[in-house]
Amino acid sequence: MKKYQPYGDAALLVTFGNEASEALHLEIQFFLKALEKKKIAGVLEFFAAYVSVTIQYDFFKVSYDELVRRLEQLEKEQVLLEAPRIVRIPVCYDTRFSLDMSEVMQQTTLAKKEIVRLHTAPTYLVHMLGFTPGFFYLGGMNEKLQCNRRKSPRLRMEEGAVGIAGTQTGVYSVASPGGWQVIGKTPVSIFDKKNQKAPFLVKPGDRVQFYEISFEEYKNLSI
Amino acid sequence: MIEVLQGGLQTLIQDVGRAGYRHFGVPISGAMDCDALRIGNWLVGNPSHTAVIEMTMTGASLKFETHTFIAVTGAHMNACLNGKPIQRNETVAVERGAILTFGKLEEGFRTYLSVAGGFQIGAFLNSMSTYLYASIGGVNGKSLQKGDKIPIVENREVALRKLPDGFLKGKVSSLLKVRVLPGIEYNLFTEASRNLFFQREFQIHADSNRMGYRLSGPLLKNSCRDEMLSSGIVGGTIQVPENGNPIILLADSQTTGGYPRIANVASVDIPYLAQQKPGDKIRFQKISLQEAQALCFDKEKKFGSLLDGYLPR
Repeated sequence: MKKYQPYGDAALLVTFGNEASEALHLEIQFFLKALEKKKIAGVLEFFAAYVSVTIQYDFFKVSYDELVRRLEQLEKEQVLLEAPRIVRIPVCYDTRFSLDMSEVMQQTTLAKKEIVRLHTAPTYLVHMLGFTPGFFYLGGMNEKLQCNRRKSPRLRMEEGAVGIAGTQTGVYSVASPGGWQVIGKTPVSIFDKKNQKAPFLVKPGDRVQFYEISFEEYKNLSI
Repeated sequence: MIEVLQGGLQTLIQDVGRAGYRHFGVPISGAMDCDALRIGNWLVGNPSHTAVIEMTMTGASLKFETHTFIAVTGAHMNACLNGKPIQRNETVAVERGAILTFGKLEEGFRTYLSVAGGFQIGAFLNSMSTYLYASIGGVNGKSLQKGDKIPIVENREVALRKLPDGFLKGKVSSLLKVRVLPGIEYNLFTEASRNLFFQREFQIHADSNRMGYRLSGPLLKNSCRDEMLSSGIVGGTIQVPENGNPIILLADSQTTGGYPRIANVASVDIPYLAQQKPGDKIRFQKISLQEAQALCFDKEKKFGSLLDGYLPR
């Protein structure tokens, strides 16, 4: 059952459930697609998280109650989702970049080779983007790779740093402070400011695969 | 052209923000005090969403290499043109070669400078707003610095305007009443914490910025699970991390957050909050959704009628 709540005076939160899952993700994707298609007057912007969608609206054009009524009717919309895009991202796990590999090896009791194998094996689901421009939250990391955040977060994580924390893995899209355990780095821009038209590598609903590259390949791709 | 002679503490080009990219994790940004932005743009005959310069706590020194018209709105920082004081909230003619400076901060926290015709700089994702964290917008994504040059429209003539007396609320108080609506996780906070939230004063912490205002006051407790799933954030959301000290998320806040949300600041009060500075105190007052929206309707009526029906939202 969907739950609708006022979120401040100009937004509304729709909650689809309590636990993040592929099924719930799909339900949200269908909802977003229907919302996009319906073009409800007064809806300004909407963006999804793991189990919820935030909708910013103009209450000069549509009241909260009216908006909820319109949203409830979206279920009747027939929409099709495109097949998800698979984005392959090269990662160099070389010691020059895998700053916390020994810590991760210790916590997971796995050898580096196995860590890399488990990290590159899945096709991850992009649940949502957030934190910094272009940063994506992935679902589907192997449980064996779970480890704690760093006790003291780094003041500066480099753009492209690939990290693990808890059940999550991801790539820092801009240089920023961060507490994830760094196991590698990608030469690819996750958020490319110079590309005005399409600065984001990944969008919600995409699938992501990591593949291993050598330091030499990293250097070649960085140019 | 405007040449920056001195940048000031944090001097940023801001417009009404970069809406429409939050699903890609890009914050809205934009002027913290959007009322000051709108009034400033009205005074120099610009569309209300035009980019302006936002100066926080201290002002910049700027040299105008062309004749134009400007307006200073927001905080009182003793603006002077060629050493002579100029009034806030009215159109001011600027001669070629004139130098605009700011002095001591007297009242408020953020001063805005609007220029007839706006700035001739590129936009990123449809906005000129500077977002420092990802170095986007404005001039090279940075705070304005000595030597920066901002192209402007040359020799634009505009009508002289003045904001009617009494249009704005009186002096900015150092104890501001901030009206809020109960937040998404309001009911997960203990009854004692909910009461404290509305009864006690909170002080704005020094470690506050355009992303958010950290508050100190009574610690707020809730019965949330250890870790909440990240959820969307809108401007004015008040979240409470484990340490119990609330944070009011503002223009540059991340688009998602994982802490329980006790309340949301009513839209009409955000510009006033943006003029509060670290050390100032605030007190929260609970209002309903209907009341919050009614306040906005009233405000737009006031903006619309007093300013000749200008300033469309």
